[in-house]
Amino acid sequence: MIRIHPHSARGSADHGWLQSRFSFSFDRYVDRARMGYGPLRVINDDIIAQGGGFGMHPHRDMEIITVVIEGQLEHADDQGHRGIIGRDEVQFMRAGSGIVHSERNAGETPLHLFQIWISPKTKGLSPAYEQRRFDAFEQRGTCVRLVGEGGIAIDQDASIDSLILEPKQRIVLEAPAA
Amino acid sequence: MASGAVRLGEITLRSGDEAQIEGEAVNLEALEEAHLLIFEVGL
Repeated sequence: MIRIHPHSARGSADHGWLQSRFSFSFDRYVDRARMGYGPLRVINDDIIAQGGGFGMHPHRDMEIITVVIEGQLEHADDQGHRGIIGRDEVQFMRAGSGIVHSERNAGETPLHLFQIWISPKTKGLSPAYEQRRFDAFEQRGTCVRLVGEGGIAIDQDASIDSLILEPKQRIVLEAPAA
Repeated sequence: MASGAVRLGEITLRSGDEAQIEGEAVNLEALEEAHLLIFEVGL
């Protein structure tokens, strides 16, 4: 079964410095039919203007993955982690029992990222942070495992792959094993 | 989640479109350069 959710049906927000598109209910965008899919709770498609960002704010019990499409993201948190994340890198932050962090555009161009929230199996885990470079990120025609077995480990039965295709390139996506 | 245009069976996905696929293999063909994020979750 295939269901299509067109881009025009996504939620949106325009804060000037931040243009967001929401796959699922988030902030002031609430659609009871779009509250997530299993443990996948948030997919936000954000464009953050130069100099813009989110000040220190808390999270709890969420596996938070940020995939940078263009630009540079600067991260800082109250656990002492600091980092700049670019296009071929993925950031993982386990909020666990509680973490406070900030995110801002550290580059000279708009920052385009996807932020993904996945509910963990286990509540109250110790906060954790990982930032990983994927050398194969730009390869064409190959699924690059970012999160899950073979990628960044999270506390959930979930995976995220990146796939870049050239024009006319074809691939078969196999159904996951039952 | 697609960026660029891809054909998914008989369906065309364009930037920002999402396809939720349950329990079947699918054929993908890029109509232009495309970048997809593919999520798999246990329910």
